[in-house]
Amino acid sequence: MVTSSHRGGAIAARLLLAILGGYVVAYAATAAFTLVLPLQRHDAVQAGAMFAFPVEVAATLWLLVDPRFTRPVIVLAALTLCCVVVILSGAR
Amino acid sequence: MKGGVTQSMAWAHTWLGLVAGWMLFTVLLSGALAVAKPEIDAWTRPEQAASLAPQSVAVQRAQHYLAQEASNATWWFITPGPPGAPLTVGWAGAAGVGEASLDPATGEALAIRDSDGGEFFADLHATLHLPVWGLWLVAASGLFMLIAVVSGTVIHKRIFRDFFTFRPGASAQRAWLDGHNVAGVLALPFHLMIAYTGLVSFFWAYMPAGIEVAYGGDQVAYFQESTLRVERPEDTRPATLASLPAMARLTERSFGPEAIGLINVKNPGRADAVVTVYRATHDRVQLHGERITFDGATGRIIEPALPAGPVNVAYRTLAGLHFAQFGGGFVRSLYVALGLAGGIVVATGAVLFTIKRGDRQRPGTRAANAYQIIERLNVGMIAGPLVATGAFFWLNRLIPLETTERHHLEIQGYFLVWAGTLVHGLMRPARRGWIEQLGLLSLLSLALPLLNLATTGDWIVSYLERGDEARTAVELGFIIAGALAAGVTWRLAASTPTRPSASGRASRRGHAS
Repeated sequence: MVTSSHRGGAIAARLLLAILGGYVVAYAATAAFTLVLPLQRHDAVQAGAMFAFPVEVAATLWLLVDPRFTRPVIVLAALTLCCVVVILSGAR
Repeated sequence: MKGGVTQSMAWAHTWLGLVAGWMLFTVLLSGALAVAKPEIDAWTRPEQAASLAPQSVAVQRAQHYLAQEASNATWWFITPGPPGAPLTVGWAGAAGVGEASLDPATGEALAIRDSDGGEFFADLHATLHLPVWGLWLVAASGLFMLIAVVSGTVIHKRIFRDFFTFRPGASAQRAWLDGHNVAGVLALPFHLMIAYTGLVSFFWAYMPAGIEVAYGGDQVAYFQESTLRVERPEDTRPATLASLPAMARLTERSFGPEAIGLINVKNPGRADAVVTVYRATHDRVQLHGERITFDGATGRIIEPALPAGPVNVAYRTLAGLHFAQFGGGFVRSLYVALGLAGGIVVATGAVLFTIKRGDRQRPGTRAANAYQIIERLNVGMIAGPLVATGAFFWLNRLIPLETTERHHLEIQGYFLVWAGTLVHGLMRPARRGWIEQLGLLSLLSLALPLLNLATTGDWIVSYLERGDEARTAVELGFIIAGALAAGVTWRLAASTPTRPSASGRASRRGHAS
């Protein structure tokens, strides 16, 4: 963990990766969630909006705090890939 | 492993806090002020003296005014307001947009000073007064706020004990940390709610994933479908708009008396005119009340008030929780207090960051210089917007009424004063910077009722006598803000300016590093 090291570059890189990664995960998950919800499309969009931000917080925080950085990266990348498959196959 | 997680949570809390803290402080401060928009609007427009009139009369005056001033517009907006509030009308069309405040009883335009009032703080809160990408910055600070609240809670294993611990007489770091924890724990559920509901309310700007996949990215189509249910075939033949007061009376059966929030008219002079009457939201949490839609040319109901589906109710309830239009002055004052508690958490957190980390650096090193710059920027980024807010209210009373583009000058003044506090903060030792700027804030705030008395002949005493609750509340706010600033200034000036010694530092260990 970076706790003891004060190298600015490492801190900035980890923050940037977590923020961008969290956004990508949340974006893909929201798109997939909106598609699979059995609702009218404007309701599905609003339900997706409520769903998006807890996902983004969880993903960003996990990318920030896990001592083994590769673990959240692999799990979240796999999750994002599943969402992309849903998006590509699920034309509304 | 458990200690590891706490430590990395502390790491995330510290560094995200540093990245987002300054921006978040302005968002929280302007948000707290935006909640008090009705009160601030009343104070910043002292000429506004509306007479009592029932909404049906107000609507009649509005229709008469708009038919004369904006007959060619494509949209009309009428906000009748509760009895005693001014009647606001607006229009938009090929010839541009316009707005006027009318006396609801006579329909005459009120001569009101050109000030954005509370709208400026609402704009600062939503976009930092930037173009639409400002929404992204504010959304980022909302997201960081959620992360800071979650990680801050994990760090605090002794959350309840911390809540009852405030030792202002202890060492400087202890007092700042206790203040950080008390304000943070006290308002924790509110902070989670307000950051989450704010993010959800404007999702279409920065999280358009659902609109992308469900509407092919067509935002307009999404808004049409989720808000404007009634679409009529275009018919551009001219037609006279039927009586709006008659339509307003028809809505009373569903909404109850005096419960109209907003009337909008699409294509007022055409055969395909559509009038939509929205119910007021002052007595319910959901934003955007039920509505009844009329054929504008005949005055007949096209669509009655329909119950919304559960998802839409949930969505509107979240938005309503954020915008705090319900519950009147009592709920608004709670929102202001809890929002400002958030500001205190951020401000004390930013000070803690420099006390704990800056003091560990050896003087003269590059790291020590960096911490010194952060310490001095803290002054201009935290005391700065507070002083600028005080200056905004001063300018509202001092800029001559006939000045052109007057409201722009008030806003430019706000940012100029803020820039000045940043420069001043960088030039002075941090402790002197805090003392001088908070002292200035206290003078500005405490003198505002007197400035008001000198320029308009009214102040808190005359407002109280007249039972003018809104303007009394604003002046009370000035006095409380001024007294608090004076208290902190006095404490800072009385404390010893020396840095804590090395031995004292070693014996102290906070848990929010």
